[in-house]
Amino acid sequence: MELTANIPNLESMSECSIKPYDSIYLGMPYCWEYEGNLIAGGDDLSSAIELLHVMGKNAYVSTFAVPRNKDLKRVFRAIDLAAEMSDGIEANNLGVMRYVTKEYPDMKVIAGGLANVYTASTAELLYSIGVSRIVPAYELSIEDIEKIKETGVEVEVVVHGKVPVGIGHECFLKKFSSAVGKECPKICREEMFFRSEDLVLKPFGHATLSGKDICMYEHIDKLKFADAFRIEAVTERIGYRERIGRIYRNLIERGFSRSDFEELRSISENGFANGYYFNKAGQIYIPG
Amino acid sequence: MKFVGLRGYSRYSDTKSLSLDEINNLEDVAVTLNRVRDGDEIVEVCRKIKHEHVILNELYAIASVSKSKKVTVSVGMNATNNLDLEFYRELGAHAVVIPPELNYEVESFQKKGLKIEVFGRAFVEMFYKGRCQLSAYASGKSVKKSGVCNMECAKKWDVVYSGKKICETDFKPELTVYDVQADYVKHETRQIKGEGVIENGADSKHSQS
Repeated sequence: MELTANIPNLESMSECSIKPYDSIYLGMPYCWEYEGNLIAGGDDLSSAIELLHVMGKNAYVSTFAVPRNKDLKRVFRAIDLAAEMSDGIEANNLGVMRYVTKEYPDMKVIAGGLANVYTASTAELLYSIGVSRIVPAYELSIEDIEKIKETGVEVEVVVHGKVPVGIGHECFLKKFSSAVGKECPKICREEMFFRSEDLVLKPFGHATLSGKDICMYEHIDKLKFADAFRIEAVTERIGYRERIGRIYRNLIERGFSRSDFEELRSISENGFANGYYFNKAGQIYIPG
Repeated sequence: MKFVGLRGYSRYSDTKSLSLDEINNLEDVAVTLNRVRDGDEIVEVCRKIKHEHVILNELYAIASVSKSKKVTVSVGMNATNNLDLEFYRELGAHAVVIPPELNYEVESFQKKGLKIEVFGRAFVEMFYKGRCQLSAYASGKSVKKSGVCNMECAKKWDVVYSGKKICETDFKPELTVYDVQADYVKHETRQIKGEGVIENGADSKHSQS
């Protein structure tokens, strides 16, 4: 089982934070302006890929999730470099995905969770044009994901972390910059949440994430048909990636540990949810 | 041109959409099937629709149905750039709907034989149309899967920064009217009546909107 996580910038790439993982997705797909964003240009991306390879890890490169025409030059730049140096390219935009499979047919192409892959028939079509791995739409149940896996494509599922509940045209953090007294890009250095009764959301760039951590620690056996487990950590604070990764590495290699599970609970500031895996509202948590 | 939703297959309420028989008794309509269903099922249903123009939301169905009908790629597919257009052209689509948020840059889209459809009047929402799972997250009611939205976005939300509440907000959909030109200009009326209206050209004298 391949354990993966995502890292937005070089600053977040400590050896400890990478160690538990087999593969790392590089870059912040929700916001170009994020400080040090590895996919926004500059030399950091090649340094990051080299660093991962020295550590014996796979380096996958994420691409901006909702590219408009004005963004394509920057997207192409990151893809060109990724095609030369990395082990795979993740795209959440179907046009970008098709561009990579055409221009770089030998490249491993991963359809991200925001690519809206809801059906086995969509998965089959993408597989036929060269997409080798799919992160199914977050909204799918385990049964729906198993159908996608049956097409032969590799499947990666999120086992822990905050997943997007939507992606839009604007950054909601920026909308509140005068109330906060901080401008972009400093405003996302500290966390913002939207709260309404028991519902919590975390705005971040163009995406808005589940405020609760999706946690499948207690149900991991139900996802064993997948090829890779992802820890969604791209918007998280220092230390999160390392601690969560260590706990899931232990789970894969040694099995369930009550103390590890309690540690997971202590890390999660807004509690757990199972996402949509059990065909319930995404914010509900069903204990194992 | 008018477009109508097929009951069980279109996003938003089944009480406003029409049955297959009702649709096949109409003249000159385009049929919307923009709820998530497996591609084979959509292809099969499209075979039973007598009309030549459908609006689809699933990749395999877009490719397959395009061989026999005019297919408009729904706004739910979230085409935001020329690479998206290139892909849908390759799949054989007739037209692609651009999100209303991108109306101001519609001239940057390279059509190359593909038709562009825009919203002349739209409810601009918290997220791009087709990219919202908030209702499913909050209440299990899924727009994509079952065509039902619980409108969580319209709630009052506390904005909490660095642990402190700084203000309240909501994200109610805003009805927005645009001065925009494209091959098709759609006037979204879904929350007002059961049928939407597409006019052929923004300045058409025959507009029914």
